[in-house]
Amino acid sequence: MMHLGTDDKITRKGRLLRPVISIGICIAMAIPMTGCTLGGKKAASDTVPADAPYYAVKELDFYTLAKDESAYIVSMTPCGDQLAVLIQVSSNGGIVPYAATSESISVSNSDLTAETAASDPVDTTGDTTAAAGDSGSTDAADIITSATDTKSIADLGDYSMKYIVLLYDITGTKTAEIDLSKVLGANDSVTSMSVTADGNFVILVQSFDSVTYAASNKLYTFDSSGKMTGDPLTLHFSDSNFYPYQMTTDASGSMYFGGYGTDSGMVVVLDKQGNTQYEVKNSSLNGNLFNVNGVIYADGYSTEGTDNKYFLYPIDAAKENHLGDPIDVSKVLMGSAPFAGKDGLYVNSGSGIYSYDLNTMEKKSVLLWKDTDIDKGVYSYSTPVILSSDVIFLQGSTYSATTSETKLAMLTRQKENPNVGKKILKVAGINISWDTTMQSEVYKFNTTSEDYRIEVVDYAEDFDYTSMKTVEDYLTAYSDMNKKIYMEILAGNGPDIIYGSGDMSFSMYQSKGLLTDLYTFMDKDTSFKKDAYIPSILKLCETDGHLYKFPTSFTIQGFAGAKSVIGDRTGWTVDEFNAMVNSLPSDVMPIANYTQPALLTASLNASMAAFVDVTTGKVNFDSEEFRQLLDLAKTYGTVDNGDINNGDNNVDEWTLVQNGKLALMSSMISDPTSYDQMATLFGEDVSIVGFPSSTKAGPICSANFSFAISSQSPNQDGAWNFVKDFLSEDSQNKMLDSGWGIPVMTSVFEKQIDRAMNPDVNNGGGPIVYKDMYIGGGSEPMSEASAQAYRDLINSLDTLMDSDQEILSIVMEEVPAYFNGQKTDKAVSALIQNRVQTLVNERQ
Amino acid sequence: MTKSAAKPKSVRSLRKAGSMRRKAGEWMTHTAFLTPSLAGVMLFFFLPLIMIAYNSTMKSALNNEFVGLKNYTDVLNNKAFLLAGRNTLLFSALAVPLAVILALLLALLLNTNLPGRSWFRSIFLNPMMVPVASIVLIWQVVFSFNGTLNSFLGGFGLDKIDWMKSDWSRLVILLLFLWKNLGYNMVLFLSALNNVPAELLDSAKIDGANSVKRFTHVSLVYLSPTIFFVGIMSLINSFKIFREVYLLTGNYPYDALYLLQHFMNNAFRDLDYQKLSSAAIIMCVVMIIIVGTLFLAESRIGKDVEE
Repeated sequence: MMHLGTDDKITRKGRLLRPVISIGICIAMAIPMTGCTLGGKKAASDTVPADAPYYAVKELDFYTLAKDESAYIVSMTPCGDQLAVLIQVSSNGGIVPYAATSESISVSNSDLTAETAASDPVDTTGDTTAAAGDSGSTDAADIITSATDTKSIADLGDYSMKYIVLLYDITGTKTAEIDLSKVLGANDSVTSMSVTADGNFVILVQSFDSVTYAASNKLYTFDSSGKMTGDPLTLHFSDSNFYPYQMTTDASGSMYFGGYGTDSGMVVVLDKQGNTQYEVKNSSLNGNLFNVNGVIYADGYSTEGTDNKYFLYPIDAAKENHLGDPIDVSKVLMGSAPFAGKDGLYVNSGSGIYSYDLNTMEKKSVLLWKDTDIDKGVYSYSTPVILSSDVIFLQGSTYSATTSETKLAMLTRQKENPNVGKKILKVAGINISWDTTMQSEVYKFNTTSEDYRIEVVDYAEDFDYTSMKTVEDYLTAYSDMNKKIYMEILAGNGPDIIYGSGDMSFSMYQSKGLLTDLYTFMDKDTSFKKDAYIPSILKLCETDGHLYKFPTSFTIQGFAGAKSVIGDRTGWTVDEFNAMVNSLPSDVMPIANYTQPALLTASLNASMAAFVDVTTGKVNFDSEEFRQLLDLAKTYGTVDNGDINNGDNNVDEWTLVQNGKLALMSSMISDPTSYDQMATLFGEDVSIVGFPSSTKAGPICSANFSFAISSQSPNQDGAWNFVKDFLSEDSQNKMLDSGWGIPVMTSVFEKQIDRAMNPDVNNGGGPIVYKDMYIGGGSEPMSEASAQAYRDLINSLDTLMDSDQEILSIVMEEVPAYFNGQKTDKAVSALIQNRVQTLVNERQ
Repeated sequence: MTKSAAKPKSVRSLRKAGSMRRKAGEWMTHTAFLTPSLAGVMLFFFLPLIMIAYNSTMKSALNNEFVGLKNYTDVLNNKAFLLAGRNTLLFSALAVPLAVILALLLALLLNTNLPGRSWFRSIFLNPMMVPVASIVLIWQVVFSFNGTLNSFLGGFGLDKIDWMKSDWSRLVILLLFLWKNLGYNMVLFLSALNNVPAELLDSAKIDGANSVKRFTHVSLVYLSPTIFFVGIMSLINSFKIFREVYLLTGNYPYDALYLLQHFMNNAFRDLDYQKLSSAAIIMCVVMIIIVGTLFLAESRIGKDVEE
């Protein structure tokens, strides 16, 4: 028996210890692995936390419109602890108010009638100042209509336009309604409103001489109660072409006017008395002004190399050119519409209102839209007014085919959030924040659902536009956004609903098993009628009998041609197309305005399946069929000069068709009217035909916006409820009123046809007469025969847009050598075959 | 006796205890020095490797269902992977020996009293200093369809050759690889040649050995560790040629240039983790076999040198 010495024992201990340590390290490393395993499915739903802020919405009493009147907000600004809203009210009468001169503007509100207004008009020849001066400080009672007095301007006469200032207190109560018509002339237009340091508000008025068209600018000052103080101040600018549309004041009372001059954007600074202090001219200035904590900034764009830059220049009297060092805000503010507010510079973005510190570029959220219930479909595009961190005013507009309405709302922060505990459903997409139809649906769902709350996540929210130079840059950026969505799904933070158009890689999500078959929801939901939707569209969206995405509307792309020329068909081969071309007179073009690559791309989008079999991996580009397409594109497409303005050289297809010089009109059909226009244009029955292909593919159906539900969502039922709402008749009708495209629901589709057959334009009734429109054709309402042909077209759709960007990019990389004669069609098709085969093999 | 016997035992015991403490201290010191690098290797190499191996046996990134070797069989049956593997091996099989042999020949040439040899050494090292993007730009200018070389050939009435999109592309990339790597390999060989004992070469010369015998029996033996090192480095660099190929031809080049890294890069871009993981493990195994074989060969040759 071998005896172990002490050294041997130590060695043995070391030998024992080392594996133990190694195992320990491995275990320690393996522990984090448990968190690294990719799984994606959320364990449980996210809910609205108890400390989530919430802003209640109060729709404010706006100006009461008379018949034939419409109003829009020119400007909103804080005025002390009030909100001042300058609105322009137009009436359809179109009669110039105050046609004659006036001796005085001191007209008592109670005395204002059509007669007195007409007989006592304001002087429009430049004596307004004198007239106002004669009257001195106008009594507020004379020009203020009380909030409860709903007397309309229409009662005052036949005005075409007038300006009103509405004042609201911090509770949202309208405290005053100041009719500026009594101080303004017929040719006066109010371009801006601002508040001075002493709490007065001033309005900038531009007048045009009706004879000489010379412009003059005046400044009217009102105190916070609405009383006009002093005389209007006539402004004199050295540049007679200077058109100021922005105005602000600083603490010293200096007035800054931003606008465009003769050669460039400019800023003019005047003292309190209206004397010019200095002018700032710079070719990069836009003329916008921002008063940020007392410092006045002017914005401007410039180009550095290939980079577009957006700068803010502090106005600085001490500097030689009166502009301080520019602040590069390209990365944070490019493409947005910044506005100055109480405590800084703000941006109203898709996800909320944010403030920016111009020194650090730090971004802070003031309000997130998910923390309130406001219809972003109505209140989307306005510039808010931030009265305080707890009180925010928003303006909005509703539009329909025949009417529009301006709205005003106040958001007030609440102590308690009524949505606490509701399950959060995330709707993700790219550039979807500004989709008003979707935002209205979110609003409707959030205000009615007791269990769920939708949050919109726009992955293009922080899109850096400055780095985008080419179309490829955008494609790469959108691809990266899609990957981000996918990675967040893997991490368990992904969306429940995916929504979008061509920017969204639905095919990628589908290939990775991320999408749920919508048919499973449709089949088990007895309240949902699958049969209510156009069968051909359902069929087109299917993949092997499953429906992973479904659009809300769609459009059709193809060629329109007279049936007598191209026959009654929806698709054709290249040979059939060439036969048609050979039958045309020599002075008739077959198609126009398609570049060679564009024509080839469109043809491939319609017939990619003929060249790539994704199931077997067989690629068929090295074939006569593809070479025929190459030849077609080369023969009938125009040379692509690579210029983004290539379209500037396009010919007028409408005129050519009308003159019988063009056989096929490229057409994008988005409603029955656009279809009917084709028949009108050709003057006979038309066929809408697809791009030539070996499969005789019909016109291409493109989904405008589609929905999909994540297979990883823990709230699939809630997600389906939202999708179902979006596909409801009510929602489809809304889309019909405000959207663009052909609805997918049969009843609404028929309603759209009915509107085309029985148009009611401007509530006036009568037929649509196209002959006065730019298309030149001339048409009656859609006929029953045309409507039926349109229905037949929709029901026969068999081609869904199939744009495989990777394959197309290989094709487009190789085909120029053929188009410019450097390589033969066989060499190019063989090369494309070689490269695409590798790609397709890789995907197998 | 007992006491006297106990005393020396105690001394021995103390000595042993001292020795034990010293060795334990040494062990602790070694461990302390090794732990950071060991932890780094474990964290940045073994942990990702384990995760990759784990992912390669899962159904998908979203479905942690164990599928055994299915992903491996899928990858091994994938035509693109097989093409990439063939191309990569073929390129390495051609490029590595050429990079070693040509560099050695250059080193031998520049190790003579060639006029201006220091200039030549600098010139051959220049490609190492040029950024990859610049190299690619030069190659594009020369080898594109409308490039300098085709213009030159056109002057002789020859047809244009699509250098980068035909079977010629292998040759173009091989030239690029050799152009870029010969200089560095040559410097390594020059250094090794200077370390060959001059007295041995002189004795061989005195013994009547001609220059070829002196090279094969003396110099080459002493160069064997450098040849091994240059071979390994060239092998690694041959895999790195993907950078140049990718910049020249993109994600989907002409099939002769489609390399394993294309396959993996595209799988990564498409977020296909299972395919990527399986391919990475297969490539890792192949690399271990190749490098292991080279190590075995070197140890045998090295043993000969030591003897």
